[in-house]
Amino acid sequence: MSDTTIALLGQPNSGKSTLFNGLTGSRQHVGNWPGKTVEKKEGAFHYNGINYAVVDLPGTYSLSANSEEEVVTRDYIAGNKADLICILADASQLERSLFMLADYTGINKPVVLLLNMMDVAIQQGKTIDSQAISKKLGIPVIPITALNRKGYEEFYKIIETSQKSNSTLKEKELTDIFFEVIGEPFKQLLKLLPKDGIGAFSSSWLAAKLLEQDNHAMQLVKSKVDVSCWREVETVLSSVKNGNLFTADCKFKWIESLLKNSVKKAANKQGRMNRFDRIATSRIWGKPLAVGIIILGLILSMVIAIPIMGVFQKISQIATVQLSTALVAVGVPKVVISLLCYGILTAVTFALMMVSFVFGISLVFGFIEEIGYMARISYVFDSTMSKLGLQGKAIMPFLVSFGCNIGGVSGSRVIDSWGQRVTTIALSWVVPCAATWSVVGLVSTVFFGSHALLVVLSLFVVASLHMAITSRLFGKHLIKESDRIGLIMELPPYHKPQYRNLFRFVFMRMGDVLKRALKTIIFVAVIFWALSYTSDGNVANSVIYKIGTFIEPVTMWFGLRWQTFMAFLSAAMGKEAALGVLAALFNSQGQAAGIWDVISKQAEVSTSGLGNAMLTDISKAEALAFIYAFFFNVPCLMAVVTTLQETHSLKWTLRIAGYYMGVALLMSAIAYHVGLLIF
Amino acid sequence: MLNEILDQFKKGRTFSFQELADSLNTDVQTVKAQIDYLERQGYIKKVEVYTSCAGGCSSCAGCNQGTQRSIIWELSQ
Ligand SMILES: Nc1nc2c(ncn2[C@@H]2O[C@H](COP(=O)(O)OP(=O)(O)O)[C@@H](O)[C@H]2O)c(=O)[nH]1
Ligand SMILES: [Mg+2]
Repeated sequence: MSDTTIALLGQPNSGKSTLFNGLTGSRQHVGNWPGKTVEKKEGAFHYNGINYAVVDLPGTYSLSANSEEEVVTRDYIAGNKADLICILADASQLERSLFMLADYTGINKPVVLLLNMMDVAIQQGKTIDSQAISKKLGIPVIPITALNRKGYEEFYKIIETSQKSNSTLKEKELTDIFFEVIGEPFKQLLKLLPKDGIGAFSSSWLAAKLLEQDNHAMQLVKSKVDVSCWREVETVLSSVKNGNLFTADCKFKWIESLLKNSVKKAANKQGRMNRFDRIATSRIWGKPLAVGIIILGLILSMVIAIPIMGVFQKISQIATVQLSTALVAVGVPKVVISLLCYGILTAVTFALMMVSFVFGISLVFGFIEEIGYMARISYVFDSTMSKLGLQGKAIMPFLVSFGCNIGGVSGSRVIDSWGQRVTTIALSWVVPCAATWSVVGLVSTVFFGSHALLVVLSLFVVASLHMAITSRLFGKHLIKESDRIGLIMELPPYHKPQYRNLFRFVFMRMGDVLKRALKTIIFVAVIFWALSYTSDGNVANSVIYKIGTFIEPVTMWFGLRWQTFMAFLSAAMGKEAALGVLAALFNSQGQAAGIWDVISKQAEVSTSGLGNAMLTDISKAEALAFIYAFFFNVPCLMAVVTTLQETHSLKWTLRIAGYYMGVALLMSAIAYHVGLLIF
Repeated sequence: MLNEILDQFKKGRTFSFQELADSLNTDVQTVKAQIDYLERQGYIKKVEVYTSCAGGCSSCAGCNQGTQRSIIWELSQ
């Protein structure tokens, strides 16, 4: 037979079971609480000639009687079965974990407070003055690390004495706070309740529970007071709405004052990081900083990508000449040479160059994500979202869209209101995905060299305007003022980047992009090569040339040659497809030398014995027009399909898609004419 | 303070813990504990936003970025 029974009480994960196992070892028994599905764990241990029984109570956040666990816990405590209650609190997060103690305050049963997880608290640089806390509470307070069984000595000593000393928690301070914060209703309830409370529960504890509309407390009080008194109680209660908010507020205040001066945090090691974060999240500086970091990131990723791209370009030039000369020498049919050198090899080069950009971009932005800055970007752009008429949450699909618009579209699911969602999707289409970036980077570097950066920046500015205007156009029909909702967002702490993870991510991504890009680009290139191939070598006889030249007078309104126009159209299927079209059409025999030659003015390939290609030039203005048309085009077919799935509206999906195509061509026309002025 | 936190939600803005703590004159840990409480009581709900292409984009070259995870709280209906 046990001499003393102790019960472990605490919030889930406060370490009850760990301590329970540490104390009892193999001497434990698991069953169910009578009539309940809740697990009951009992055990025993022996210390200094005394037998102790230990009960591991179910983990609950408070002593309200809402769930089965809470009912079990409360019945057990009220039932006088334990000689001593040990409340466990997680010392690494006392603000949260002391809530159980606050909720216990007012129950007159011997209790001790165990500050568990002291190892974690120490690691956090916290010093906890348990003596001071003990003095304020009037009960023993024991720092402990439940995982370390050798450190239980103080605990053993204290339980040996405290169940005799009958230490109960001081409740005056909490009651004072109740008076101050809740005021009249609390006073009235106290007057109505039996002065000494009921059983182990003080009147103040009961008053608080009544305000929380706690069923068990109400039944208990109702059974102990007379009918007229209970009516008055009910009248008081009906005058208070959300009473639990008030009582909880008091409890948190109580915890705050309890911890004040007794818990000290060592001067933060991350002081400099904190100062940076103040700026990074400030209402004034946060946004310019984020924009600056994004632009710097883009510049950096281009600086990384361009040299790599140059290497691939050089290799491909050499390879094309070598390969075609070799093949001609061996007597391979012209059609095969044309396909290999002009169709496929160029496509492969494009794919490799695209991957160079993906490398630059994923490295830089992967780094920004790794150190935990990304969440700050969403946070500081909240006010911008609000100006666009969107919910704060909308920034998340936008950020995802930088990787992939399809992700952005399906990510808009987080937005509850349909109108908001459709508008968010419509706007997310503007965000350039990684594939768009790499093609734009590639084409603009090829045409504009180091000025490519200016092109990219101009795209940024125009894209912002686009978003502003599009949000008005679409929002007008779709957004109601009341849709705007508030959020609280968790900003993860900054941390050192894990370079291994980062590089694994970057290389995996490059591999994937290369695979997909190769497939699409080669596929499209071969189709367009086939469409433009003629046995007599004169591209003017091919179907596509006929169609192309037929439509060119119209497409030139937008500054688009028929080839770039076809590239624009196929980009609506998938961004990288545009590269396939360019690769094929600017390489068709009789039509032009390879695009690289066009650009670098090296006609080597065409003079190497393959057809009598003439040099076709795309002017810079036309290139600019193409870049704009491409950038603002529909993201890709899958994004359109996903939009249809997410909006369930064919009408709006078509509207958005038509709008984007139209705007892209308009942009292209403007860019072309501006380009004509500049170049 | 709990009521003040709930009021902030009605402003239709995004707040960080730090910002809430500053405006309520307390510290981040206390704010976190209170947010937890409000969540448990059903006043607000926690939304873990995982955004990724969810495999829907085998045709798209850009897409294989890691899932982005954000944790936000909003008022329950
Ligand atoms: N670092 C540390 N971890 C602990 C300590 N006590 C418990 N834990 C861990 O905290 C988690 C929750 O503990 P558990 O005993 O299951 O909590 P319960 O829900 O209260 O029963 C487990 O992973 C334990 O290993 C401690 O003193 N220090
Ligand atoms: Mg447990």
